[in-house]
Formats: sequence, C-alpha cells, structure tokens
Amino acid sequence: MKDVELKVVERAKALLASGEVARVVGWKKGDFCFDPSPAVFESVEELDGLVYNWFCGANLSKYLIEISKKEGKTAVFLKPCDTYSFNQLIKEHRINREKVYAIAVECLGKLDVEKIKAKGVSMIEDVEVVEKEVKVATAYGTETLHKPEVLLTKCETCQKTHQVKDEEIILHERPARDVDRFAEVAKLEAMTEDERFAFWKEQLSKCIRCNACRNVCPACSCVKCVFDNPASGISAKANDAEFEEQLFHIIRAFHVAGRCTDCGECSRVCPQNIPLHLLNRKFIKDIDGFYGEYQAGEEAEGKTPLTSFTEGDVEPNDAVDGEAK
Amino acid sequence: MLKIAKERLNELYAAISNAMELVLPVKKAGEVNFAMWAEGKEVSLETLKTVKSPKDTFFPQSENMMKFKTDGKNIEILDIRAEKAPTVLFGVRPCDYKAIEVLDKVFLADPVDTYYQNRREATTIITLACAKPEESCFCKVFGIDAAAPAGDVATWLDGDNLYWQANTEKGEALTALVKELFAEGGEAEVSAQQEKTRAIVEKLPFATLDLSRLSPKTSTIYSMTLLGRK
Ligand code: SF4
Ligand code: SF4
Repeated sequence: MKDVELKVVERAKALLASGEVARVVGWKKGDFCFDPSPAVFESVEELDGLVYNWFCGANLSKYLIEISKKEGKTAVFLKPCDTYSFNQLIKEHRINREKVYAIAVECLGKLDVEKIKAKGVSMIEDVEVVEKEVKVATAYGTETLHKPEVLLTKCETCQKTHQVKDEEIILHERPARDVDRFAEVAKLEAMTEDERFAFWKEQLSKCIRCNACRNVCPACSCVKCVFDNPASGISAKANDAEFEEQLFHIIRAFHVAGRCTDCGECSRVCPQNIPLHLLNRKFIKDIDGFYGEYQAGEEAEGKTPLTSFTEGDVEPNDAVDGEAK
Repeated sequence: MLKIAKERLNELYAAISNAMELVLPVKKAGEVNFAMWAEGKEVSLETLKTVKSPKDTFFPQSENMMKFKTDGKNIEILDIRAEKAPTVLFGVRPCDYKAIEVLDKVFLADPVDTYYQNRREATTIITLACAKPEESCFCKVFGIDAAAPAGDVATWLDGDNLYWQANTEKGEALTALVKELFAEGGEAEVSAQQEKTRAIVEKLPFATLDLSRLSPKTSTIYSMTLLGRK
C-alpha cells in the first residue's frame, strides 16, 4: 500500500506543479492512522498530508459537484466503486466532466475500524495488510486479524471495476471474485412480513436522524432536500415518531432508486450501523428482475429503466404482488 | 466500599428496577446505547462509549412540551408536564458525568430550565470508572480522572466484581435499597485498577492536547468555570 501512496502523492504533486490542475481532491491524514478524511489540496506543500491507505473508504465523487464549479481543472482519485457515483453524477448533469481529471486508483478493499475495534483491539498505532492477514500494531502489542472479517461492509461484496479513468495507478491487480451481493437481501425476502417488519423496526428505531446517510449519498444531491425544507411539511430533525423511523428511509430509498450505484456509503457512515444498503439493494434487485440487469453508474449516458418506457414494462400490480422475473 | 459478583448483576438490576426506572447501556441490533432495563435485555458495561451519550435522559431528542387549546381568539396553554418517575442512570462514564455537571451550570442556573430540573432531580446517577481507555480519550486534559468518577454512586468493574461507593445522600439512599446484595470490601482491587488506568491515561495520544488551540476566551471558560481551576 505504501508504494501506491507514494505514487499517488507523486502524481498529485506533478499535476499541481505543472499547472495541469488547480487542485487535487484526495484523503488527508487524520488524528490517527485510521481516520483519513476527504480533503482539497491546493499547493504542493499541502500534498505532504495526502494519504492513500487501508482506511480511505470515503467516496470522493460527490465533492466534485461543488468543486468542479471552481476555476480550472480538479484532479480526483477514484476507487472502482467511486467511479460509478462519478458517472452517475455526470449523467445527472451535476458534475462537469471537462473540468475533472480522474485518476483511477487501485483498491484491494478498505478496512472498517469499527469492526477492528469490535474485536477488542484498541490503541491502534499502525496497520499492515499481507494477503488476507491484517496486522494491527497497538500500544498493547500486535494483533493479527482475518481481513475478510474487518472489511467495510461495502467491500465485502464488491466486484466493481473502474468505469472512468484519465490515467490509472494500479500496482497490484485485485483477484476477480465471485460473490453474491444479493444474499443478504434474499434472506430478508425469505422472512415473513412480520419478521421483516420487526427486523427493520429494530434497526431503524436506532436512527438518530443525524442525516449523515443522506449527506454522504452521491444520489442525494438535491439543492434543497424536502427534509430540510420547513415548507414541505415533512421536515424533521428528530427520530421519534413512527413516521421518522420508517418513512424517512423508505422515501429516500425510493428517491435514489435506479440512481443508487450501491457505493455503500450510507451504511459506512451510519453511527448506529443500520444496514441501509440493504434497502437500496432490494430496489436494485427488483429493478434487475423487472427490467433486466442494470447497474447505475456504469455509463454516463443512455436511458435508465425507471426513466424510460417500453411496452414490455412490468405492470404496476405485477410489480407489487409478483415476483421479479 | 461494597462489592457484588459480576454474575449477580442481573439481580442488582432487577432490585433497582423494582423500585425505580433503570436506564443503562443496552445492546440493540448490534449497537450499545442507554435504554430502559427489562428482564432479558443485553446489558453491556464493558462498552467504553455508547453511540449516544446519556444526555437523552435529561434532554430527549424530542418531546411534547405543552398543549394549546384554542377557543375563538383565546389560546390556553396547558402544562402537560408530569413528575418524572424516580430513575437510576447507571454506567455513566467519568467524562459523560462531567458533561452533565456542565449542563447543570447552564440549565439549573437562573432562569432554571424546569423540564431539565425535573428530570435531573428525579435521577440518581451511578458512574462507572474506565479500565480500558481508548486512543481518542482526552479526559485528562479536562481535569477528569477516568479512574475516580464523581456521581451519586461511583462504581468500578473488573473481571470478577462490580465495586460500589456511594458519594451523596441520593447515593446512600439507593445503596440502602439494594445493600443486602452486596458484600463489604474491594478497596485493594479498586486501587490496583486505578493505578493501571491512570498509567494508561498518561500514555494516550491526546493526554497532552494543547487547549490553547481553543480561542483565549473559550479556554478561559474551560479552565476557570468548568474545571474549577485558576
Ligand atoms: S467497494 Fe470496492 S472499490 Fe469501493 S472501497 Fe470497497 S473494495 Fe474498494
Ligand atoms: S446515518 Fe444512520 S443514524 Fe444518521 S440519519 Fe442515517 S440512518 Fe439515521
């Protein structure tokens, strides 16, 4: 990973120094080794703080909505999953493609520090990954963990590949894998209605309406969100009534249906660890079943199942009662 | 000082909740937050920090504050406040307890927030000392001793027992209620744990955090008003 980071910093510096780009969007070192955060770098000196490590799970695409409005070009580092959000935002005319220089950066999966801590590991000083082993150096000694157990949830089922690249930094190929990203959804589908209701009620009642899931979501880019708009009649900041528990999330899932690329950011940022991605994945699975396989963000142009009509489209009642084809 | 074996904690919870409402860290759908105790709930005193602080006990995220009755042009405001049932808030970390003291300075000072006061007065707080602080902890900088929390009752947990020390009249009253579940002793174990915890705290990355990064005005407020330092 260090070799990739060196290359990332080197390219960022060269692009800024030559004036090809006016700024670079990347990840900046946090207080610890495990909390880098998205950042904009505007000088070569600032780039000494740029990191690319096992904890750079944050998707940088959404930041480009605002940043690409600025003077000059912006360079951005995109992991495979991030490129889908990027493409989708271009399709929705949110990002000006001409003003972005996209660098596809390799990803072998990112780690979830919460999952590491849940294994009783604390006082983390450094993390090194060799194949499937995660060696965590802590003030109490070194712990070795099994990588698949401490990956970010979104990375557990990722089979994504870069859809956008003006150039790439790929030093290690990621082995292809065959995982079923709908396995968890299928489990929920197999439940009875009551069981499913109980599952979501227990999960969603933890919600504190911090709105982090909405704020991070690349598909949630409305200039004024209904939930922030007092004139909408449904704005709210607290999660206490049944409405909040159930409808905020379901409305949001409908709102992003067909546009959600399954980047998994909602679940990553949720402080209450609510598996929000499962709601969105259910919609994706149904869209696949009703209209044929479709992956949002694979292309920056073209028709989408929910915004085009064909005579063979599923009838509304079949969609409600029926099984996906 | 009193002590009770870890395996018997459920009896303690049951005894307290017989007399009052008991709110403590409970695991629900994978996350630990303060919640009402009931038989069968999964209590987690080992979790260092709950996702949300115990502040909700005094400041719920939302509540009905009053009702209005309109009759033509007249509006009547109905006070719907009910006396808060006596409550025990158990498992409050030293830093969270300090935060409640800070809230008191604001909401129990004139003009008193009577909603807050009502809940605050009805609540007995049992703090829980930390045995395994984490890298993000910076209590020391704010003058908080992670090994010796304040509160109506202070407790310490090790592999075998929970140790219990009443600090206030409210704490004594609660202790009297549950005393027969406890045995005397534990001073040596608690001292040993305190020594260990304080040694860890010294080594935390933020143990020497520079408060001057706060504006001069804010740092004065912190050092003078909140920490009782010069
Ligand atoms: S979802 Fe895939 S591309 Fe995105 S961070 Fe995880 S492994 Fe990398
Ligand atoms: S991030 Fe989690 S807690 Fe916050 S609003 Fe979304 S679901 Fe609720």
